[in-house]
Amino acid sequence: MQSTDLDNKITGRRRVVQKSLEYACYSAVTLTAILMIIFFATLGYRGIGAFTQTKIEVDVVEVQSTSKKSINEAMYRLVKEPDRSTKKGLRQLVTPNAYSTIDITEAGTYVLVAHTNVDMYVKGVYDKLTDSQREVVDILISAGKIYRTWNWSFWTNSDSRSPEIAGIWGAMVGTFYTIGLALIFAFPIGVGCATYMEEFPKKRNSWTYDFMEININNLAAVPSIVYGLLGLAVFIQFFGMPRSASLVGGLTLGILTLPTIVIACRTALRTVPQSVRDASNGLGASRLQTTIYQVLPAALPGIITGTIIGIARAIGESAPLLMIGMVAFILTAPTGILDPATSLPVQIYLWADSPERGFAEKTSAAILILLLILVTLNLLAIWLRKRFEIKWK
Amino acid sequence: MLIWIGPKKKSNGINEDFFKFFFRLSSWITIGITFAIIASLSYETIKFFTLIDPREFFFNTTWSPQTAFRADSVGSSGEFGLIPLLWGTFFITTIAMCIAGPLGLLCAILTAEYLKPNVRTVVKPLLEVLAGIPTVVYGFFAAIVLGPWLRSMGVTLGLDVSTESALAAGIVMGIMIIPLISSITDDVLTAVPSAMRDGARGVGATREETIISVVLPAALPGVVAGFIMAISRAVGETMIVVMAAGLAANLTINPLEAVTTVTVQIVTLLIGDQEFESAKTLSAFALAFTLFTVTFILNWIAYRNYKNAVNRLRQ
Repeated sequence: MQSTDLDNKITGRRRVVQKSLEYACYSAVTLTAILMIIFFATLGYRGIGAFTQTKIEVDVVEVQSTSKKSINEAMYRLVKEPDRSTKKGLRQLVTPNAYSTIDITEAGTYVLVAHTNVDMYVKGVYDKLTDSQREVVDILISAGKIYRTWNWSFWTNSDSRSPEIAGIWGAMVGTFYTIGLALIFAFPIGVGCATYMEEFPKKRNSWTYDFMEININNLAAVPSIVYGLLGLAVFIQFFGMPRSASLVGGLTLGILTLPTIVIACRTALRTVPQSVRDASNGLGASRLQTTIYQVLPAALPGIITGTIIGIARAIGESAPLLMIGMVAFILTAPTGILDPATSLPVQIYLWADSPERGFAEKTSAAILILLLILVTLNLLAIWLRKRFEIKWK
Repeated sequence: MLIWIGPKKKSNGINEDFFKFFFRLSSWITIGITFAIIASLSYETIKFFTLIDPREFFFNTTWSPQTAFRADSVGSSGEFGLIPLLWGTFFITTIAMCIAGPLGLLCAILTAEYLKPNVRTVVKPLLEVLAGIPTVVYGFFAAIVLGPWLRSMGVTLGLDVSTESALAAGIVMGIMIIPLISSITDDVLTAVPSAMRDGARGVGATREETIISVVLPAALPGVVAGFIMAISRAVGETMIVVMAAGLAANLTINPLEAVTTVTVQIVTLLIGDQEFESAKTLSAFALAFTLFTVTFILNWIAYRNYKNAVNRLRQ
C-alpha cells in the first residue's frame, strides 16, 4: 500500500499527531473490549456455581409422625448427645423446603437439598456456618454424604424465599406469555403501518407523511419507563385489567416494540426495487395485490429479522414491567395470561435487590441464561438474513 | 350483451377494502399511541398541579414525597421540588457522556477510517453486542460489582465513597451508550464522500490530518446528533440508576456521593400498590411528563440534525 508508505515518511509534529490519533483509536477499542471481557468474565465466574446444587444424604432410622420430625431426628443422630444450640445448627443444614416436599414413610436414605449456607460453604463462596455445623459438614463431605450435582431445580422451580431451591421456571413462563402477546399484538400492526407508509402514501411530501415519520422515530426513542406509565394509566386504571398480569405486560411491551418493527419493516420494503411493483402492476394486478403477492413476500426476510431484533429488545426490558406491577413474588408459574406473573429480567432485578447473599449467584446465572437467549435470537436473525435475503441486481 | 370491465371489488381472494382499512388502521394506532402517552401523562399531571403549585414543583430545591402519607400531620403534602432530581439526572448523564463520548467517537473513527472492510464487518457487530445487553444486566454490574469495588478502592485511598455513588452508575451507563454513539458516528463518517478524503490526501495531508481537518468537521452535525441521541437515552435510562444510584435527593457536585434521578423516583413512587389519587402517586406522572418532554425535544433536535447532515453529505 503506497499511501501507508507515504504516511510513514512523515516526521516531527505531524508524526506525533498522526500516531497519537491512531493509538487513541486502537486503545479506545481495546479498552471497550477489556470492559466487555471483565463484564462477561465476572458474570460467568459468579454465576457458574448456580448450575450445581449441594445435596445432603440423610439416613432416616425411625419414622416419626411428620416428615419434619423424621428429618430432624435423623440430623440429630450425626452428633453424639447434641445440646440445644447444636440441634438447631443441625436442623439448619437442610433446606426448610424439604419438610413439605419430601414424604418420609419408611426408614432409609433420603437425598435432600442442603441449606444455602452449606451450599455456599461447599462452593467456597462464603462461610456462615457455626463451628459445630462446620465440623459436621466436613465429616459428611469426607464421607461422601454431601456432594454437588447438576442443579435441575434451578430450571424447573419458581422463585422462593430460600435461595437454594429458587429457580427461573416461573419467570421463563412469564416471559414467554408476555413476549408471545407482544408479538401477536405488534407484528401485524407494525407490518400494516409500515406497508401503509411505504406502499400507500397519498403524497410523499405531505404533512401527514412527515408527521407519521416523526411520530415513529420519536416513539422509538421514548424512554421505556414512559411506556410503563402508559400501561399503568390506560390498561390498568382506565380499562381495569388485572395488575401484574402478563396480558398488560404483553400489551405494554407490544407498544414498546411496535416502532422498532415499523422501522425495520420500512427498511425491508424499501429494498424491494420499483421494477417488481411496475411489473406486477403491468400484468394487471391492483396495488394491493402487488403489495400482498409481490412486495411483502420479497421483503419478508428483512421483516422477520427486524422483528426478532425488536423482540430481543423487549425480552430484556424490565422498567415498564416494574410500573405495571409485574414484580410480584410469585411461587408458582402462571397458568394463563391473567395470572400474576413476572419475567426473567424482573426476576434478575428482584434477586439482585435481595439482601440474602445466596441469591447473588442465582442472579448471575439468570443473567447468563437471559444473555444466552438473546444471543441465540440475534444469531437466528443473522442466519435468517444470510439464508433468505434476496440480492436485487 | 354488456360486459363489466371496471375494477372489481373482490379479486383473487383478497378483500381489498379490508386490507386497506387494516393498513390505515395500523398507522392510526401508532399515532394514537403518541396521543395516548401525551393524554394520559398530561391528565394525571394536571390533577397533580391542582394539589401542588406548579411553581413549587419547578423551583423548590427539596424533594421528599415520603411525608405525603400522613394526611393529618404538618407538612402532609410533602415537598415536590424537581430541581434536585434534574440535577442528579444531569450529573449522571454528564459522567456517562465523559466516558462514552470519547470512547464512542474513537471507536467510530477506527471502524470507519482505519479498519479494512473485512475486519470492520467483524468489529462493528461486536460493538453492537454491547447495545443488545439488557439494562438490568448493566444495573446488576453497577450495583453488585462496580459500586462495592469503588467503595473498597475509596477506603484504601482514604476517601468516603457511597456504595450507591453517582460515579458507578455513570460509568456503567457510559459503557452502555458507547455502541449508540459509535454506530451513529460511524454511519455519518462513512457518509462523508470519499472525494473529500481524496482531495485532502491529494494535497499532501496524512490520513490523520484528513480525519481531523476534513472528515470530522464535515461530519460534525451528524456526530452532534448522535451525541444528543445518546444524552436522551441516558436521561431516560431506568434500570441502571434504579439499581445503582441512591434514593436521597442530594444537590451535590461530588461524584462519590449518592444522587437520585427522575426515573429512579418514578419507579420508587409507583412500585407496589398505592392509592391512586394521592399527590405522591400523581407526582410520578408529572415527573414522567417532564421526562417525556425533555427526551422528545432532544430526539427531535437530534433527528433533524442527523437527517440534514446525512442528506447534505450524500448530495
